[in-house]
Parts: sequence; C-alpha cells; structure tokens
Amino acid sequence: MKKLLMVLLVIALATGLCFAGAASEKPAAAAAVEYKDTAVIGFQTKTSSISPPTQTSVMHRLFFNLTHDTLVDYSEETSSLVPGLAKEWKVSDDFRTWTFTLRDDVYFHNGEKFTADDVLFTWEYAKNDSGTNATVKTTYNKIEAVNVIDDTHVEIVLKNGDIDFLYTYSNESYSVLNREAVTADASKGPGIGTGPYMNDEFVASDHTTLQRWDKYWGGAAPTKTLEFRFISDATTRLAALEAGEIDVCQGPNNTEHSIIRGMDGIELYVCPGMNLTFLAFNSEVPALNDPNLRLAIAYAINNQEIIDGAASGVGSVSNGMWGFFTYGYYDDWAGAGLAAYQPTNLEKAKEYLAKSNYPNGGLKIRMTCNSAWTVGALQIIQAQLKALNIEVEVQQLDSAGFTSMTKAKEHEVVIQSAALTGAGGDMAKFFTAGNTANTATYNSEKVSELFKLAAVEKDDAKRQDYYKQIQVIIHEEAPYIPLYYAGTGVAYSKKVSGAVWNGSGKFDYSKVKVEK
Amino acid sequence: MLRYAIKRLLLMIPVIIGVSFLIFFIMDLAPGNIIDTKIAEENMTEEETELLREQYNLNGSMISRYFKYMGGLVRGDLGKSYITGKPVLESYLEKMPATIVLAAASILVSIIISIPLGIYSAIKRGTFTDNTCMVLSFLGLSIPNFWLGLMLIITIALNVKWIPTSGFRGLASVILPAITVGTGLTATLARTTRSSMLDVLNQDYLRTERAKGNSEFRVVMRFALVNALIPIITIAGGQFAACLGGSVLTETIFAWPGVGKLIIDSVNSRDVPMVVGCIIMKSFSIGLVVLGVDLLYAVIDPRIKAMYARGRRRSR
Repeated sequence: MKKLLMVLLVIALATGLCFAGAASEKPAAAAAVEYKDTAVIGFQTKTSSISPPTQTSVMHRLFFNLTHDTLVDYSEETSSLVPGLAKEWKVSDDFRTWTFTLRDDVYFHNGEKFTADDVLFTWEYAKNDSGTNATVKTTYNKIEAVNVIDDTHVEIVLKNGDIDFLYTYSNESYSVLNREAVTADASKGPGIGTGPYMNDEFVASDHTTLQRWDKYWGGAAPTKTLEFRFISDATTRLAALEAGEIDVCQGPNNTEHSIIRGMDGIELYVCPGMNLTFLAFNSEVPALNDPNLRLAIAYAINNQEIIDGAASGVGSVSNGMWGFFTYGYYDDWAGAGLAAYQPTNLEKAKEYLAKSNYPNGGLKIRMTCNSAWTVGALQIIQAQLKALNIEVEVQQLDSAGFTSMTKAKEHEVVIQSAALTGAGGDMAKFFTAGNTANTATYNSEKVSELFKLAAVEKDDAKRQDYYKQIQVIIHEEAPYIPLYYAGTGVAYSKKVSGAVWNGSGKFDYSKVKVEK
Repeated sequence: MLRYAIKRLLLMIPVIIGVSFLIFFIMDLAPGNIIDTKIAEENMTEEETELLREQYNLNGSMISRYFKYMGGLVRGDLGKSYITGKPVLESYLEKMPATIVLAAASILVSIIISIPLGIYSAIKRGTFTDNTCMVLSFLGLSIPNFWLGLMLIITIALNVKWIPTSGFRGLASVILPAITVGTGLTATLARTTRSSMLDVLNQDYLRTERAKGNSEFRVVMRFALVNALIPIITIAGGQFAACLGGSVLTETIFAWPGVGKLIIDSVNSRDVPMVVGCIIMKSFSIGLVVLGVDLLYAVIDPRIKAMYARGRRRSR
C-alpha cells in the first residue's frame, strides 16, 4: 500500500511539474510582443508643404527626414557628418570641389532608381523654382556646377570655398528629388523621395499620413503607417494622449510636466534643448553701444531664475553665445583670463557699471519680445536689473511686428531664441553685417576676418583657435547675453519604442513602433 | 422674390469691394510683412530679403497692389497664399466643410437650449423660474470658450471613449466643439425668444384659441411661437452667419480645421492674399446666409410673402 502511495505521489508530482512547465511556457508565448500597424503622433507646429526645397522649419524637416534623403546626414548624437545617399566623399584643398560616391541600391517611391542625375536635377530645379525657400535658393546659388561623372559619382563645384558646405547640405531641405516624378507632377512630385516612408495624405495644418516604403535602402521601417496630427493646443494634445488617440505628444506644456509624471502608462522625456534664448543689444542705440554697460547687465542677470520663473525650470543655463554642440565651442573662460557670466556676480556687475557711461545706473531700456513666455523672462530681468538702478520697459509685439522692428533697427534690446547648428561658420550670421539674425547690429572687422579665415582653414586646431578668438571677443564685448537652452518635452505612451528625440526638436520616427 | 434675391446678390459687389479695400489697407498699416514672418523663422541676407520682395511683389504701392489683386479677383482668382503657395480659394474651401458642420451643430445646440428656455421664461414671467432660466442662459455666455472646451475634454472625452478629444473625425467629434460654441450663443437667443414670446403671449387671438379649448401647450407652440419666430430666426441666422467666419478659440482647443484659425494664422503671418481672400469669402457667405434668412421670413410669415408678391405686381 505504501509503495502504491509512493508511486501515486511520484506520478502526481511529475504531472504537477509537467503542468508547471506548461504554465511557465504560457507567459513566454504571451511575451511575444505584437506591434500596431499605425503610430499616431500629435504635434504642435503647422506644416504647409511636402516639398523639401520650399521649407526649412524643424517640423517640416522632421517629415522630410522620413520621406527623403540627403547625400550626407548630420548626426546629432555624435555631432558629426555621416553617410546618407553618398557612401563617401572628398573635397579639394580649396574646399570648392566636393566629390561624392553614391549608393547604387536606392529607389525612389515611384520605383525609379536613384542616380547622380537626380542630384543634378534637384539643384537645377530648386535654384530656379519660384517656390524654393530663399535661404535654400541662396545656398544652391553658391554652387557653380553639378557635374555628373557617372551614375554613382557626382561632383559639386562651389563658386567659393566653404569648409562648412556639407553641414548646410546635410539639412533635409536639400534632400534629393527625382527628375521623372517632379517633371510628371510639379505639385506632388517633390514629395517623392527615397526615405523610409512615402507621403500618403497631406492636409496642411491638419494631418499627414505616411506609408512605409518597403524598398528603403536602409531596411524597411517597423511600423506600416505613421499618422501625424496637428493639435495646436498643448493641453488638448496631452488629453488626446491620455485618451489613447495618439501615441506621442510632442511639446506638452512645461507647467504640465509634473502632471504627466503622475499619469498611468505615460512617460515624459525632456531633451536638453539646442535652441538658445538670448538678449541682443542694438549697438546703433548710443546708450547701448557701451560694452561696460552690457557686461554689467550680463553679470547682474540670474539665468537660473529666468529658467525657473519663465520656463517652469525646464532648461539649462548658457554661458556663451555659441552652441555647446556647435563646432569650435569654447567655455574655458578662466583659462582665457575672463569670468563667466554665470553664476550671477553682482559685485562684478557694479564694477562694470561704474566704468560705463551710466556709473550710477539711472537709464531706461526698452526690451522687446514676441511671445507670452518671453514676457515672463523680461519681467524677471526687469526685477533683477533694479539692483543696478536700470529701469526696463517690457514691450511685446507679434512675430511679424517684432521682426519688422529689428530689421529696421528700431529696437533697443530684444529677447529671442535661435536654433543653432553644428556648423561653426553658421554662427557668423549673428556677428557679421548684412544678416537679419544679427539683431545686435554687431560689426567687427576682426571678427569678420576670423570667420573668413576659419571658413578655409583645413587645420583643425587652427580653425578651432579662430573660433575661440571670436568667442573671447564676443564675451568681452557682450553684444549678446546668452540666457539658456530651453528643454523640449515629449510625453508618450509606455508602449512606444524606437523614436529618437533630441534637443533640436527634429525628432526621428523612422524606427518607431507601438505595442498593441 | 427672385428679383429681390438677385438685387441683394448684386448689392454684395460694393460690399466686397469695400471689405477688400479695408482689409488691404489695414494689413498694409500693420507692422511687418510676409518677409518679416520668414525672417522670424530663419536668418536671411539683404540679397535674400530683396529677392523675396520681388517674389511677393511688395515693391509697389498699396494702391497698385490692390488694383492688381482686384484685377485677379474679377477673373475669379483670389490669389495664392504666401505661405503655402496654394490657391486661396482651394485652402478656404478645404476648411469650409468643417466650418459649416460646426456652425450648424452649434446653432442646433443653441436652439435646443435657448428656445425652450426662452419660452418657459416667458410663460413664467417674473417668477423665480424665469430668473433662473435667464441666469442659466447668461452662464453660457459668461463661461469662456477655452475653459469650457478644456473642461468638456477632461470630463467627457477622457471618459467617453467614442467622443474624440480633438480633430474633425466623424460626427462624434463635433459634439464637444458644438456644445462649446453653442452654449456661448444661448443667452442672446434665449432672451430674444423670451421677449418675442412675451409680445405675442397676451395677444387676443391666443385668448380666442384658449377659449376654443386648445391646450396651453398647443396654444404656445402652435400659435404663439410661430408668430414669435421672426426675431428668433433673425438672431439665429445672424449667429449662424457669424459662426461661418469661424470660432478661433474653439478651433484651437479642439484642433478643428475651420476657417477661423486659418484667418488668424494668416493675419499673424501677414499672408495678405489669404487674409483678403478669406474675408471676401466670409463676407460672401455671410451675405448669402442673411439673404437666406430674409427669404425664410416669407416662408414663415404669409404677410411678408404677400409683401414680396405686391412688390412684384407693382414692378409689372
């Protein structure tokens, strides 16, 4: 009997173990994740075109990045140029002739094979088309010739040498178009590219639907359809995410970050920003054409207070009027025998004020902005500058009115933001005459000369040194006061993976997927 | 009636000329232009801005640009948007279905709330109920659209899965925006209904109807309301016409693809052809609705129909 019991016990245990194994296998089978066919992204900035040469805004470039390709890409992760449609490239000693070896396994969405002729066509089309963006047209006008060597080799000859040419050319607005597609349909043709997604439906300022391009040279994307919905109000956009109507909510309100962190199934990611907010002093206003006064203000302002008060704490302090990711960035102020603007140094501020034309303060400065949140920043600065007995009048205009004023040089001080790039030479727009971005109306022969030297300097160390010299001059003269880099938030469902969000705001959804 | 309608349509021509000139003039006075909008987005050299001035034909005087624009308008060309490069008419018509749906649904909400409220107030004139109804209707007017919209999204859309939070995606998506706009319209319509009903409720013919043994409900709905409809239709028609111009705040909150936001965005970006074109189309559609309302009077009130008929006989 005992033996029988033992046998039964063994059988029971064995059976139990078998079932236990089966049970443990079941969750393993369930763990095989399935993904949705469609990922929906809610965004906040209007888009108006599917044609790369016509637009240069960050949101447009996000789409062009999905639908088109450039010869060379700029990697924000490594701050360097990486191959795109061109496998490799070389440049002549005078930086005029750029020769590219192209991939031979690339197809446009209409089935046409990509060749060097398409590079030539894109240049011819964009420089002559009336819809081409003015900046893009100017860049294309700097090209003297595009020479097709054979199907996989092309040569771009510039009118003047430019070491930063590829940084500019890697911008999505310079994506390659297809000759056949554009010739057949001038309206929809420019929307046909070689990217991982094809334009399917585009309704300006409402939604854009993209379909996967299965023949993409970089491998087919994981999600079949990407739908981008334009929802301008941040609170509504967040509600749409909470209701499960969208999977990603770009740019939720900074003030709602704490609420998002408490939401079930939703994550928040804050990218360190690459848009610099700064003050620009119009040097054509006699009272402001005084480096000592400007430096006094630079040392008296508390940038962190501005971030906390006007940007809900989402941002990082900037100490230099040069992108921290831009080529040639320099911030060893102590090494250069200078003091950083931040942290705030009121004693130093008063020293500089004493050396200025207004040793006891007592002047009134009009500071102008063009958005509600910059009004907040100016009001904080208004309070901070009372310590120097400087009165600030805060003025708010709409965007066109603001630019009209800066263009006419009728402003005194403006607060504004700028998207900086990785190209050192691109910074020249802030410090050289004839550029609308130079809202400080700054003009220095020395600085202009240094930019010219850097533009054709092949020796990396020498080039870095030119840029360092520029930054030191700018730091000492303070035509601009850098304030902070605003962070960019993204709220997304925890089921989302594969998206790349970076501080430039030009997010990459080519690998995004959403669990069912 | 046809002659009257044609006459009214012809009268729209000077209105459109006046409106277009006024908008052109105001846009010219506003600081900044399309180039400034572009500069705000990116750096430009002086050569690039000059290139744009030529591209957008901004070098001539305001008068010469206006006449050039009107030349196109006579041929039915409202111009192309500076921003998108698309024909203005195409952009406007793209937004019209959503605008008409929202306007109609909002008026429906307004009518459903305000007419019963107005009638009930009139019947209960001077009582606590009357005052409560009027306060309620004013509450609709007093609540800011953006706040009500957000509250509806948070309380309803997040809990009722078939009602979307935003966008124009099926009829369910119109519910919340229509409530938001509609409640804002109730106060005026409810008060008009109330005062109009008060005018007729004490008329002798109603006493006669009551004496005939008709129920109070029938007396009010069949005999009083019909005679009180003219002012109500006038107000409701005006509200519908105004809604056709778009409801900017509601469109923003609900990401509604209507013309209101299109116009405001175009003003902000100084997209003159788009602003002028949209305002002309808006004036035209408002004119049509007002004409439609005037013609509706004849359908409702036989006296007005008779007046049109007399006018026709006289003209013969």
